[in-house]
Amino acid sequence: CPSPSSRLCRTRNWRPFPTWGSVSDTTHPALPPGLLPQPPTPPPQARGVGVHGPPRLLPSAAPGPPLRSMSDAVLAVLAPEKQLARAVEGLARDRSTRLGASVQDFLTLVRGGGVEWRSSHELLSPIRTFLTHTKAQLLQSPALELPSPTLLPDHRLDAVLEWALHRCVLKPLKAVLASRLRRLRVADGSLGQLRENLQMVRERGPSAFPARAPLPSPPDTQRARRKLLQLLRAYSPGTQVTLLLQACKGVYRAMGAAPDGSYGADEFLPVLSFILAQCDLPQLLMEAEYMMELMEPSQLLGEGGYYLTTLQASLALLGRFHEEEPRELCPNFQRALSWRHQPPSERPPGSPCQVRGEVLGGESLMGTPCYPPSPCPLSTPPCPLPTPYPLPYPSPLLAQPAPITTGTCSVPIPHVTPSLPLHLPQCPLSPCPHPPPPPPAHAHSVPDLLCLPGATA
Amino acid sequence: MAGSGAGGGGRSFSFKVVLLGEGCVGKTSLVLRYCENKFNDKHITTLQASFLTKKLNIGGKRVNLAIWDTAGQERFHALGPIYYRDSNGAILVYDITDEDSFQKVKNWVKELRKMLGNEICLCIVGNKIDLEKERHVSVQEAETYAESVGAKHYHTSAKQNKGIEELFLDLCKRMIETAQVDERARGNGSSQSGTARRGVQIIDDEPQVQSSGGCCSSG
Repeated sequence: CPSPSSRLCRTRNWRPFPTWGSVSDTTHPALPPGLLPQPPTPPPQARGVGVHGPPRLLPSAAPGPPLRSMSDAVLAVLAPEKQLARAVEGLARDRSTRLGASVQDFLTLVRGGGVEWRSSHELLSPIRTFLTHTKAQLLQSPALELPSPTLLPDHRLDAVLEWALHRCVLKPLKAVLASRLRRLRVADGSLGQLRENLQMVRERGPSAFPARAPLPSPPDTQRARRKLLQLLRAYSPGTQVTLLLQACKGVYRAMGAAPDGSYGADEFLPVLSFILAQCDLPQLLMEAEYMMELMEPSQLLGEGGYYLTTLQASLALLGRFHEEEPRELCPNFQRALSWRHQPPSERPPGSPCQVRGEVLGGESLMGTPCYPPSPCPLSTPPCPLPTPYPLPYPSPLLAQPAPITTGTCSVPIPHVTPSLPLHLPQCPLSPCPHPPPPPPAHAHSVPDLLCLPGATA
Repeated sequence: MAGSGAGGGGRSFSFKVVLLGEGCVGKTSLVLRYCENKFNDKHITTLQASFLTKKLNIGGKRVNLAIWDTAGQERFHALGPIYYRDSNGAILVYDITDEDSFQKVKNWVKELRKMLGNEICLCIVGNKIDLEKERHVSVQEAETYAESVGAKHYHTSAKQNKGIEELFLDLCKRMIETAQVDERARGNGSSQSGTARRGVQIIDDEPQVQSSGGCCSSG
């Protein structure tokens, strides 16, 4: 199909403009004087509008008939936004106006399909382009003059037009777009995978996303779910983003006060992921794409854009949850752990040979001795790999005390970082003979858990 | 690169800055300090530090800064592209007492340069200079590295509120410069980058060179 913009320029033959009543019999909108449809003068050439001047989507402004009633006049002054939105909607429904023709043609075109989309971007970006283009045209249209420009500042005017166009374009298309997006995600398997993973996360419980913040209670989750359900039903990405922000606000509220004043992404993302799994709404996968593609581009930089991005990030995380290695933590162990280890080859001699984690409230790993970083004095000679070396003691943190083995030094592994290959410590000597260092000399505000390889009794 | 949202009239810019760095390096504290705990009451999710905004006026140019926090745990590394797409600047924070967190910054630099090229302004920030005695990353090493990758290096202490204003001010100036150069290169055409850069795919990064040691999660 030709680009939406070219369709916009292809004007229809001007017909005598219908009386206002024929447009507004049911809605009865009262237009600001500038918006009142007038017989165009002179009628532009069928194809020449784009050449001879900016295409006008609305009939040109001319002295309009008086407002129909006093109440219309009052409304026009008191609720200019509503007035304008209603006027635009009325025109968009009417094929005999240029806006109406353009919108109705576009709807027919999109409904008709006929094009193969390989991604949500391909499917939705023409729609965003159409919205942006049509809005720009409306803003340029001299017919859009309001009785008093001070009543609607520019940025509000833009927002009102955007919203009105969502009603005219997205509302009728939402169902068909949703089913197409769904088809895409069913075809590539991501929807099914996400559904399975949500189930998996629910089964695993809090340990699936260990977080430093308290996890929300079931009533909190239910509240968030209700907001997300509303979001799924809405068609305007603006409304949807507001609902998403309300849901996020509820999540923050449920997390309670942060120890240091406020929570950042480190705490929010795991909690959100946990809640999304509880809510069990895999359709959010398509909805997030819908919002991301159709949202007003300038909004993407703002708060709405940020939390929409976080939603996408969380869904991406959940969508790949099955790739993560299973971890089982005892239920009261909710504090996050982050594991990394530098292979000895990259470790400068004398540098810490350690794997650190973090535990809740200074609680040690079920009696596992915790030490601050200390240098591993033995960096040579190379250790005789691979020598399976079982855990020196069964870790109560592991539901199945699988012997996690590595080189010659072993550590209890209460948590394995997903999506990354776990580089277990490989201490060069077997067994690492250095005795456990003394208890922490300098206390960190948040205790670090350090399990030294081989540092067991 | 994201459009710098340069509005008409009295020159105003909207910039997106993404905060990257390991969990406990103090990203959140840094940005909270900068925004002086003054939360924007227009935000729906107020009183949180994940997303903060700041308005500045630099030489008559109005700048709207949107600061995007990211989750620093290794587990979330692969989500980076979702967050940093269309960013004008990135603040890469490490903890001067944690060599490993500096290695992590190097990984981010590599990734950002690969994905976004030279248009993104990079700041490498050694945080926690109040713990100078426990320093594990040498000043010279860090500064030399930053220079070698075309980034600027800063020393900050969120605790003592040192070096933070300077960091953000410098970054804004550089982003303005980049935006203007970009604009000129486009021949002053409308810099509507709109939908052009959407639809980022998550990239599963190869199990690459692992960084050392460990660090507590989040901070």
